[in-house]
Amino acid sequence: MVFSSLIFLYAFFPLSLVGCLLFRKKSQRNVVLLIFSLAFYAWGEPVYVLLLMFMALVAWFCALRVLAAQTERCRRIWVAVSCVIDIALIGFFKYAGMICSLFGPVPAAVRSIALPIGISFYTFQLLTYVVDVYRGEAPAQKRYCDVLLYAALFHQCIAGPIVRYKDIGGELFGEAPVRAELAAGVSRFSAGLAKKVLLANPCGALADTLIMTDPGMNAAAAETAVAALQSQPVLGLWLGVAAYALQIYLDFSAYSDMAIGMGKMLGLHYPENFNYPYISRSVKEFWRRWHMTLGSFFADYVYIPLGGNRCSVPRWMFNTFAVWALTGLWHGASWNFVLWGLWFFVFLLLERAFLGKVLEKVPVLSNLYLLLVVLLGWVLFRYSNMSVAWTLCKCLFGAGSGGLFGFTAETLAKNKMFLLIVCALACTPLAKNIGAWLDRTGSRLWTCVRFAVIPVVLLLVSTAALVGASYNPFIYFQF
Amino acid sequence: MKRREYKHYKKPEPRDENHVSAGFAVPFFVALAVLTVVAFILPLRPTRSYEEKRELAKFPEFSVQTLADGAYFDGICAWFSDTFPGRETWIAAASRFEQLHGISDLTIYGDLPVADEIPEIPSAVPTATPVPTAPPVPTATPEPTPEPTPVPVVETAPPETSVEEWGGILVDEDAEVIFGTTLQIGDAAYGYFGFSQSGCDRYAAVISDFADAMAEKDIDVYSMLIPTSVGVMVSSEYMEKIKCSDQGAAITYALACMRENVHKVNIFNNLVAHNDEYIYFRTDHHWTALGAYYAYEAFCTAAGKTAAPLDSFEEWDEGEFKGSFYYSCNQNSRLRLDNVYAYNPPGDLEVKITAQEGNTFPWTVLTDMSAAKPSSKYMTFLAGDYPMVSIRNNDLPDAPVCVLVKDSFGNPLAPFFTQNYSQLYVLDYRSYNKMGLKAFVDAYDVDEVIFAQNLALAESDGTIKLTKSLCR
Repeated sequence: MVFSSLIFLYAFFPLSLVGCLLFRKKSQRNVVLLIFSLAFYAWGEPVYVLLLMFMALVAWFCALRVLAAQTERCRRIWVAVSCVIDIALIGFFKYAGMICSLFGPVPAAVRSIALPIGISFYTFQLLTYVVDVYRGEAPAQKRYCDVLLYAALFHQCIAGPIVRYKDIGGELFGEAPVRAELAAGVSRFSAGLAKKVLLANPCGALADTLIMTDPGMNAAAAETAVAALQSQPVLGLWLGVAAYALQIYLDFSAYSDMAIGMGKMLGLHYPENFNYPYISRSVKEFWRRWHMTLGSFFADYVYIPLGGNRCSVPRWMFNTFAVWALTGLWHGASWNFVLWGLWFFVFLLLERAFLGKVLEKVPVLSNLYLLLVVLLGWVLFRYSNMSVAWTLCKCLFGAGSGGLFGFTAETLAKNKMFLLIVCALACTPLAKNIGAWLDRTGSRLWTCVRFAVIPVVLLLVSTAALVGASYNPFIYFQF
Repeated sequence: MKRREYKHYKKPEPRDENHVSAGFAVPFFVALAVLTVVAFILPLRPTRSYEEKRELAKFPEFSVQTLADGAYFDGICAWFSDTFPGRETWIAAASRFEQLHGISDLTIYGDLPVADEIPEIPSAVPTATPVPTAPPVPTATPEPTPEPTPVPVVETAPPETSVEEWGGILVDEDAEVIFGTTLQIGDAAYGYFGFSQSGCDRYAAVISDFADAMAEKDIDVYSMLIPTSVGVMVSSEYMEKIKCSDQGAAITYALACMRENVHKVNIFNNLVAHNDEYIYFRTDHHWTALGAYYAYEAFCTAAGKTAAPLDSFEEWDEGEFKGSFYYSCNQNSRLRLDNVYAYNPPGDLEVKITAQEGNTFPWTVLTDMSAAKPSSKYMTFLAGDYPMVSIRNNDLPDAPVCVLVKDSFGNPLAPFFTQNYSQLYVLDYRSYNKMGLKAFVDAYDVDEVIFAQNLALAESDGTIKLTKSLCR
């Protein structure tokens, strides 16, 4: 079940909200929230919900052992036990195929291992729990159910943001009361829903038309994709890559918006995950604005423990390399993701060496530089089949046979012109700034429009688009 | 360093923003609550989409296997969304919203395939060069076959329910692919057409082989390839721009590929001459009955027959029509809706429809569909696609007997042919399989065979195979 599905909107979400708001006591509310969270996860993963419960059990037990341990050595051992089990499990379920492929053909048994939904997110959250307890930054949880709730909380369990235990534990389990921010939550949730359904989905469809979907390791499909890309005009390909970039950002940030919005409705404050990354002027800045909770996780739990930048240059290079290889790997069990991470690593090195200072002096060019790096990065991100990715990269610079601009691409560009403009503006803080300006006027009318009218309109239009999405004109074409 | 032990959580930070009264959220929650309640009123959930002509997703059946692999819950999600109350209204609203995406003087739904170049006529037309063949190998003498006799039929009473319930337009995989790419130009939609040289060559060979076999029996075989709307209604310059193949040239090529025993009927020019009239639907891939009449006129000219004047037919107005393109264009509101007009042939006509299972029942050439849903109006012609419809004109006992091999483009054409034949057998090559055409012409004492097939389908692999199978 995804947030942008009708069954979530008109069955799960209202029921869970009513269930939680009926109880004022946190302990009672948390029981309801846990039941709904497990049901939400089991809906998508009826079997792997047991894996989630097991990993939470390991984290709960190890954290208690850390707390009870008398010596630092013992504490470290229990943290290590927890980390090893977590990493072994994610390694098995997510990376077994990739590891096996290093040594030859992947056995059928390994290929049949399905990736549990959200494993990358909840594994990291559980890691932060044990490490935070070890570091003494948060208390260990006595009750297993509470650790399970922290890991399984359906708002962010399957698509983030990665919420650290020390940041949410107080609001979730602490004695201090929390206040539900219903209007703000509704506003944020509906904005996220519309962003996903009305903006990201059509951008995705446009990208699929112009730059094909990933054919994976299917040789025949890859050949077709390569031929199709070679026959596309250059500007059509750029438009496709841009549409894909818009889709990724709008889709991902929309999920975070919905999670943050749902959290606010219950008085829970999840960290922001995106801060208009496409307006950045360097790769370094981009990664401060893109998937911020992942970036700070790697900074606090990998980069700094490895020594950060307070070390020799070679050591710093290694630390940075490790972080970016892991960042790439976290996104998917395929080498293209590792390359994608290392692609940014290279530009970070260049920026540290000399490029960063140059970019500071050229405002618009630095924006264009960042967009070029990110767009080419998305090409690596999209295709696990490297021959297709390489073909697209070449064709983007005129190596194909489709010329500069073709009729289909021109038609699609015209058909989606306003959509693309709106999507591009949605990647900037323009709407936020206008909203803030209107907020400052103190106009009650604006408050009413913002919190009462716009959410309803967005909900209804998104619903229409979701009902329409179930209609497939091709399959049922009648003659 | 001594390790600190935290016993308490970090205090939540004071938050000053978003102190907005919860009252503002009431409209949202009311909308959410109303739609949630509506979503659970099961009788409001549709089970069939008449517009899309399909059964909607059903609630999945439970099994441990589907529960474990997630299919059960996926099925519930699909059912919940596919049968959402008021789905057609929601879809129409979404379509209106989608029109705000950009400038849509032309919209392409689906991918544009790559077409073959149409070779020059006649130099590229394969000539009958003798090909050396291997010496004949003696084969076992086949068992004598019994004289072909008409398949015994079971006469049943006509259905009591409306045609909308039991009629239908045949679903065909080729059609799905061929008409899958739709171009919306202004207020009308068109199916993309891409020429396939190998398809035309193979189709021409099938018809030619059959005509050669029929020549021995002195049976005339006609081939009439029907262009689709894009070839007739859209200017050549625009066709060039959207990379659609020229259907006039394609038909000329295909007919030129057929051997001399085939009587070639090129209806293209007569249709183009009338392309300022309402001869193709704007929201459907078919032609109108008027378009079919001009094809019939061209046929009569080519075959040396007298075309019945259009005013001798009674015009029926079946009302507003939303065709297949209306749905492939996501109910785009810029499309101008159609109207189905049908022409009821005069005379003492006896019509019998043979259904798939072989049952036969009496019916009429046209069916009054004026009260039917806007998407069902095309079923007015021959009640839709049936394997065989036989029409006897008792006013013309001495006229020849004819077989019309057709797809659904042939449905509005057949009523006109009733004025030139004593008996017309309308066979749908996609579903008629009771006997081969060679046996059929003997069994039913047929004088003429007309192949009236849509060009886009005719050059497709599935149609060629089915036509070949029928011509056995």
